[in-house]
Amino acid sequence: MKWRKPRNLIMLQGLVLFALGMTMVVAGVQADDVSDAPQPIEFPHDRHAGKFKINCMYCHTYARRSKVAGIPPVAKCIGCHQHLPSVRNKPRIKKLFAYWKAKQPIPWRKVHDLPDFVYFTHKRHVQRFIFKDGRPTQQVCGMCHGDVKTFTVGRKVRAMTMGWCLSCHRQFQGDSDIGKPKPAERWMVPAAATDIPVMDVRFPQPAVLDPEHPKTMKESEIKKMSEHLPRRIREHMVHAPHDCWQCHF
Amino acid sequence: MAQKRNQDQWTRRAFLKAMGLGGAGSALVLSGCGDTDIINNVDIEVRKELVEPNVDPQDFVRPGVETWYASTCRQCPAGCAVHARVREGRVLKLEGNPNSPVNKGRLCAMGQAGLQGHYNPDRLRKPMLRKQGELVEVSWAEAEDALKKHLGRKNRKLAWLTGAVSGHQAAIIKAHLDAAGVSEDRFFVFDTLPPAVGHAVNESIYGHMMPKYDFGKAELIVSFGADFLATWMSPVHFAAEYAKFRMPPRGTLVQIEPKMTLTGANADRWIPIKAGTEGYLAKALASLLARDSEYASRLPADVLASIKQVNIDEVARITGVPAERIHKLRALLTTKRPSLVLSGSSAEGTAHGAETANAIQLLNVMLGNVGATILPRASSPFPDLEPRMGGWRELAQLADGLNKGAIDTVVVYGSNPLYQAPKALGFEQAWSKAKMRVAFSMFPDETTMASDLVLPIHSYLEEWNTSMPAYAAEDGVLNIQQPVMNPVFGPESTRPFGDLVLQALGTIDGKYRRWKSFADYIKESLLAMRPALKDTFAPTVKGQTAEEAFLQGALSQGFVRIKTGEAKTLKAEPAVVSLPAKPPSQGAKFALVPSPRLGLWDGRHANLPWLQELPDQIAQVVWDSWVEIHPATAEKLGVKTGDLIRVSSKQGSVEVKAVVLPSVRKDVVAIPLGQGHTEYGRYAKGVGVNPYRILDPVYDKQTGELAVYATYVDVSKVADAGPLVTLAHGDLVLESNTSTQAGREIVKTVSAKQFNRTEKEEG
Amino acid sequence: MALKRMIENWSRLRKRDYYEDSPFMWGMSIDLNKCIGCGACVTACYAENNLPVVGKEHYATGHAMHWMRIERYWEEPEGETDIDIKDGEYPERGAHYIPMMCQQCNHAPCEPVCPVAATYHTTDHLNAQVYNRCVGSRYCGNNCPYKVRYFNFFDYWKDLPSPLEMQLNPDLSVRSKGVMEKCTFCVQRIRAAKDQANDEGHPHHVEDGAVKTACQQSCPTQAIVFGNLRDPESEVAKQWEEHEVELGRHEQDKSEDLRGYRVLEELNVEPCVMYLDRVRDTEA
Repeated sequence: MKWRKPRNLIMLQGLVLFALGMTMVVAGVQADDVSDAPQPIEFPHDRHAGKFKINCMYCHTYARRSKVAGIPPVAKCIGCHQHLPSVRNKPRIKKLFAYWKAKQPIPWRKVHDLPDFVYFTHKRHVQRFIFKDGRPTQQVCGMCHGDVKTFTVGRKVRAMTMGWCLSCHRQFQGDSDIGKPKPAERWMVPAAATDIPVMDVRFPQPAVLDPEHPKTMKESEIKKMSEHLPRRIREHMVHAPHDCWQCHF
Repeated sequence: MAQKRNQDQWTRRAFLKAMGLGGAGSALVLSGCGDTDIINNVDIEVRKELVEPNVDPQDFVRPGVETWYASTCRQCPAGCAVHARVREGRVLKLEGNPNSPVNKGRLCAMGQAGLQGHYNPDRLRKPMLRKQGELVEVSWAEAEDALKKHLGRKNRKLAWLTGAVSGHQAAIIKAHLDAAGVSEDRFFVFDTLPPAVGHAVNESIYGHMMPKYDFGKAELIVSFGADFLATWMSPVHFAAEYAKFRMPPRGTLVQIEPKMTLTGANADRWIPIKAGTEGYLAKALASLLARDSEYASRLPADVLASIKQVNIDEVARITGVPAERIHKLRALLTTKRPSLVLSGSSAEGTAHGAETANAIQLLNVMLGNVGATILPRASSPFPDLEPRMGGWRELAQLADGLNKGAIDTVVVYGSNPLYQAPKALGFEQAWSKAKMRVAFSMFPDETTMASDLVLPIHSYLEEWNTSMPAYAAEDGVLNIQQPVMNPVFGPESTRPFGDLVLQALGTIDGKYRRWKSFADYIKESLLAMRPALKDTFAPTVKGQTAEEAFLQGALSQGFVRIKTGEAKTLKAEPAVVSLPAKPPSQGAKFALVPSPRLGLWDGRHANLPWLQELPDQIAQVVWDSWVEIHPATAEKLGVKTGDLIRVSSKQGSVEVKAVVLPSVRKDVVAIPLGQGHTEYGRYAKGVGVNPYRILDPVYDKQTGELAVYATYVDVSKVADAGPLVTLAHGDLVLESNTSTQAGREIVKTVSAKQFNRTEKEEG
Repeated sequence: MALKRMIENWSRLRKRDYYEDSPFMWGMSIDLNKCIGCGACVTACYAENNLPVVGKEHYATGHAMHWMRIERYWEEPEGETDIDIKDGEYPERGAHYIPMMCQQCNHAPCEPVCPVAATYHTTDHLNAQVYNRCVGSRYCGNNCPYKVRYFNFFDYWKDLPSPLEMQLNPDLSVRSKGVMEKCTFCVQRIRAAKDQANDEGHPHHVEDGAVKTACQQSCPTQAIVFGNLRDPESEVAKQWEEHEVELGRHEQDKSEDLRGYRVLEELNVEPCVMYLDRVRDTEA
């Protein structure tokens, strides 16, 4: 059982990667470290979620009650497909049954990966937006995962950086927000559900402007305190929960 | 909370890497300052790692969500029930099972560290067979052939050597002996810490080897070296009992021993006594009590006569305990009642251990504690499942059998005599005479590596078993052990102990072929036991059969309660006190105390890094052995902490660094047990010294047990060797073995009187 | 500049409790009458919090990473005469044990010295340590009066031989070289319990006992009590009240008979951990 490959970035590596990143930006390449290894099965999300309109949570059943959305167990696939003789002889389905017969897990390649020091839970997000706010499932999942019903295998369409997280969280912050869903206009428009990477994310600010007295600051307070900051930074300020321990421990 | 069955066989490690498993690698880069977006993106990988789903998991198995399984800790014979936290198919944490009468949800350091035995990098992964004098790795097929050849036949020269075992494991070992055509007295149990002498004396006085103690009821506990908080039978259980005992009105604890144990460190009065003289003090106390007719009347005339003539000043000289203190102890015993007097290893491990224990138990009889704080037990309908404990006598019997050629095949499981037996016992020679030595073992320990056939077995977190606690907090509790995850090294590397024994059994006796695995055997036995159990488990799911419901209920509870008979009253028949007039003279030598530790225990946990790095509770040393020397002695010898000291007995010597501490008597030096392994993997091998090796072959005559505390040694300084590695308190203490709090109120003491006045009774 | 900031934020700075509206203040109470110094808590902490075993050489250079340690003293603090501790050449009253870990100070000296705000106070009144912000200046460790902050001088996890890494708890980070760490009051467990409370529809109330720190859970004598000091019904709040230990003081105004105290309280660091005095029967 292989442990995760160490990804310790010492200074030098950091610099190299920085340079690499810069090169990629210059070359107009998406900066994600994308392997071109194919998925073991070219899973057609477009057929399942698009054509047949199967709810995302039917297969990604853990999303509403776990940190991870989870890849469905092989048994889940078989549960339906054993009753679907019409597609039984398609190469993808043959492959699926081969795994099932061998009782082997399908070695999917991970598409969405967060750094290990990030605490993220699907459950909270799904509970809030789908079950509490009553939004359509595909719209909610699409906030982060894009318009999956048009994909075959999953693709990463969001940068999934801290700044990107905060770009949403700053709209949903503070006590006033709890229990009172604010209509977040940007998620209502289909633009958010495309697969164009969101690269215009405003970068995160030092969460604490006054290190001696860190706290969750009111917007007006932050405004006042940030007057001395350079304009460039000021404009890109993120007014999010200024509590690093929400996500990093 | 606790879930029922083992995960499905196919349930593979899925989602291992779901979250948080790797390092906080890019910590420096994501410091939140500056223009970091580009770097952030680079750091995030797509399609680099695998994320493998389960194949066909049970409903309650969800990635990212923990599942708790009930099982049993096997780190010492105490048998604490545990809940194991499992996520993504890996066991991550062990916690006590709150429903267990043994440990009530708590777990000691050794129990916590069970995980590191389970995941130990030095675990054996392949069977080994001795060929031309060398142990070589062989395939399981070859090992199974050898197993069948040597254990799968009638053999009148067969013997088993195990550590403390119980439950169905003990039952199948006994069945194997039966099938092989040998009597039960070839079932040797060797474990050094369970109090073999105490058990024998209890049996003769009370008619039961282990009566039940009620700490909560006692107002006073006087313990002669019974280290019940750490190494005496059931540390977690007695610690919980201790907490009850210390609630208002707070009980008083007096500990009498030559070297401070953890229990001594928590005593209201720690009385350092000359090693091996505990019996004289007990006798003197009995004699003082006997002046009062109330106490005297509880003794038969011959016993009373044997304690009549005692000169207290003489006893003070013998024991090193001032006469005034003896009188005060007597006064305590008469005012604080009911009380409880305990005898432990330092009192029992002497040349007159059984007599000493008898003299100590005499006090309980005189004070009327029998029936008050010492309670009877009910008998179990399943004597084969009861714990089997044994000590040095059984090891000596095995050695004798080997030497005489009456035994030529030894099967060893859970015992490591080649590490523990003193050189003077000559056990290595006896061991080398065996024609075939079969070891069922998880680790390359000393005994395993000196065997001919080595069968790597599952850890206790991977296999089925049942067991009974060494000290039963409640009568008739049978703990169930179930696999909490799939075998770490896969099904082809290690095998369950029970399966292998069943396999050997099946070769001799066809009726054992009925069970495909030990798991089936246990399930069937549990189902068959149902009428004899107090617990019933009703179906919780529609369509569940009674059997399924029972197994699910029993497994999620983690133990079952057996219906026992009524507890008979204990008899109280102490023997005549027949200590010699004087203990052997110690002269200018030092008594050697080989002190057991809560942590490394008898040495079996030396391969667990967490326990190596857990500072000793008294000396606070890590990763090493040391010899404890009193400051006055140290001054006389010109020794300071960190000096290399030679400790030599008639049998040999060890060289070890000194720790100067006030917690040993001036005429005693103490070396902790557990280190000094010559095998046993990377964490244990070559660390420290083993004091057992240099013990003199002195035996308690009545029980035949080795007198572990009866070796006298010379001590001399070899060299300056530099400081020992100890817990550093940062700035709070300047040097770890200092006594001072530097004037700061870090730990302050109030009197029990005040405590009882101001604090309410709980509940 | 500093003055300007002070004037601007005067009303905010004058507040005694910065997060007085927060429903949570996690606190602890440790009864030294019950603590036996066995070390179960220490090992439980290693198991829960991915603490590295550093080995003999690193331990010797003071690099041990035990978030919780058991200190052992032989004598009373100076000036205490009411207990006859020195009546022999032996410590006849046994040892003094005290479990020591991050005291989660409300006026934490480690916080203001951090140059990158990697350690700060959360609204739960926890002293947070954010590994991915930390640059390893170690100022915080130097400023801690309890010496309970531990620095990763090496990537210890890299030396973890397989399969020991399978034990690592995925609920929290495995720290790498160059960052400071310390007891978090098992923040991952707090997080899970708050999550649970949120599911049950009461995000501002976590049931007493729903969060148990690893040390508390394992303690064989149940000497450690942990809970929300802001919840008057919690066991820990009751104990603080019973022993008349109040927050916001550097010296308690209370009966001498009561056992509660906070270690080094006179430094006015406002720890959230209360200890109860050790007890000995002086008549034995």
